[in-house]
Formats: sequence, structure tokens, C-alpha cells
Amino acid sequence: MPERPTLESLTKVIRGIPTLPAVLGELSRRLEDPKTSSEELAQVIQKDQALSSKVLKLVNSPFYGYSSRIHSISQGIMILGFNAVKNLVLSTSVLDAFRNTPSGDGFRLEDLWLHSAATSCAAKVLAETRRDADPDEAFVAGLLHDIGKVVLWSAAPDFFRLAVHLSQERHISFGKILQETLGFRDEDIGAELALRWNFPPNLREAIRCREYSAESTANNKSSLAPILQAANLLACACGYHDLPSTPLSAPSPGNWQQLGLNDHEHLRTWIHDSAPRMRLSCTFLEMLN
Amino acid sequence: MYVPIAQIEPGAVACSPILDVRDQLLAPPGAVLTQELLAQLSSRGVSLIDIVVAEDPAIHDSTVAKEKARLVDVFSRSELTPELAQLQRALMEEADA
Repeated sequence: MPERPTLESLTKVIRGIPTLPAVLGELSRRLEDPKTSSEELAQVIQKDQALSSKVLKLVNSPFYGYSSRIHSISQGIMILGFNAVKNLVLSTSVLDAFRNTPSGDGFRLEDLWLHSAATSCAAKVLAETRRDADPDEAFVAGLLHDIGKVVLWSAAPDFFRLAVHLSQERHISFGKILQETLGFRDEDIGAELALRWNFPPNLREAIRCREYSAESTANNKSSLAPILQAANLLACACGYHDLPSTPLSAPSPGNWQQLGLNDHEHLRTWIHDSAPRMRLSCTFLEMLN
Repeated sequence: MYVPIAQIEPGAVACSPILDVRDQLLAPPGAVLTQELLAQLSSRGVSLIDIVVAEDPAIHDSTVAKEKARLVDVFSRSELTPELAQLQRALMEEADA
């Protein structure tokens, strides 16, 4: 039996993870101002040389099919779109924070990032249909919802493999296995990291409550946690699975109903609108890697 | 399939929503891309559009069958609650569409 990690040992691992770059916060503040121009955003991005080269690499990739080379960051921003640039900055920052995490039997970091990218798109599309959720916040929550798994894998890979195996064998979700064996879930670890990265309380709570029952989110006025739960499920069902051959996490009936997904037409529309964006987002991510 | 706007012939049909740099909707899925609309979209900074591409019926049938088999496999690993059953049905319908 592999040694069980404790919340204290995982907190030490979290302290060793780099903070997110300051450019991300500045970019978010600028994007909140509707008067911000692409030139102003370009000035912010140009402060970070690695980021600038990623924007240019993406916009000059065969995906965009431009016959002449794009050299200007502001032109690149016009092509990608403001939100795509912000999401690019966030994605690359999170990817960089875990760049040295090795994959292994039972866990592939690449699969987890593809799953996160797909979840973020599905969450954003669903949030766009609601007044009680911010689509951009939903996107970020989707991108970060599984960071606790990366921390757990980094700290205790043998235990992680065992938990995946038990999940597959007993047809119980990975989170429930952790709850049974450790007394906490990967979402709790993710919320701790979100706290270190100074993410707002609503986002931290959404990451923490994703897999919990409807009752645990009943006091939360935002529908972010139920959105995240549903988006995570759709991403897995569409083939963007974070952990191989593990069962799907059934949504709580209360959350499903709260989101209106018991209306079959609404559910179909959500799937139809999410699927192309999930594919596009995963293509972007593969290019970045 | 996402195609650079310069390569799209008038008459093509948008497959997913077309958004501007601030994610404002410019044209809904199903919009017919006329020459005028393509010019307007280009001036609004749109560079790529997801368009409907005609597919060989045999390839289409094979893709649908594979997707349905994958869905059956994925959902068979879980206890089928009413919500999961509804999701599976919707995904099966989407695969057919």
C-alpha cells in the first residue's frame, strides 16, 4: 500500500509552485475596460518576451493560414481576439507552472490539459446562457478545475495510481475514492492552490464544490459550481477524459435542473454549441505544447 | 471545419457562431456567408470561420457508428442515473445530426 499523502504534505508542494505572472492581472484589468485598444494590450504583452513569442507563434501557425508573416503583436491580437489572448496568457502561465511535471502510467498531463481546455469551453458556453454566471470566470474555472490532480500526482504518484485503479475497478469517481481514503478530494487541493494564486473566492469555491452534492452548493448564489460540474461531465463524455477508463461523475439532479439541462432541447443546444469550441480549444493547446 | 476567411466561397454555411474580438455575436450558426457578409466579417477582424463541409456519405456513416460505439463504452462504465441517460441520448442524437 503506497504511503497516503496528507493535506500538510500537499500544502508544502503547493508552496513550491510558482505564482502566476503579473502580466496576467494587468491584462485582466485592461480587458475590463471596454475602451482598451489592441495597441494598449500589445504594450502589456510585450513586457513578457516569452508570451509575445507565443502570441506570434500561434497567429503565424498554419491553423490561421496567413500567407504573409505577422510580426506585430497588436495585429496578432486583432486576429486572435481579446478573450482568446487573455485565455492564451492564462493557459500558458498554468502550463508553465507545471512544465516539469512528468507523465506516467495512470496519468498523462497532456490528457488533463486537453480535458481542462474542453471543460473551460463547455463551461463558458453554458454560462453565456445564464445571468447568474460570468462566462469568462466559467472559462477560467474550467481551465483550473483539475489542478489539484496535478499537485496530487506530483506529490504522491504511487498513491495516485492506486486511486485511479480503485476508481476503475469499483466504478466510483476518483474524487469519492480520495474522500474515502484521504478524507479530502483533489478539489480541496485545487482550491488551496487557487488561494495561493489569489483567485477570487467565487472561483475557489467553484473548484472546491464541483463534485460535491447539490446541498453543499445550495448556499452559493452563483451557478458556477454546477456549471463546472456539468462541463466537466460533458468534456469526459465527448472523449476529453482526464483519467483513462474511469467512470463518469453523475451530476446531482438539483444542479442539472438548476441549469435547465433537464430540458432536452437546451441540453442539445449546449452540446451543439460546445463541441466545435472544444475541438478548436484543444487544437490551440496542442499547438502551444 | 475552420477555414481562413479569404479561402471561403460565397454560399458556404457557418457551422458555429461567428464572434468578433470581444466575443460579440456577428452571425449565428447556419448563416449563409454571402460576399457582403464575408466582407463585413473580415472588416470586423474575423479571420477564421467554422463552415459546414460536405462529407462522403460512407465516411460519414462510419464516423457516426464509431462515435456511437465510443459513447456506449463511456457510459457503460458508470451507473446510469436519469441525468446521465439523458446526456447519452442527447449525445447520440448529436452524433446522428
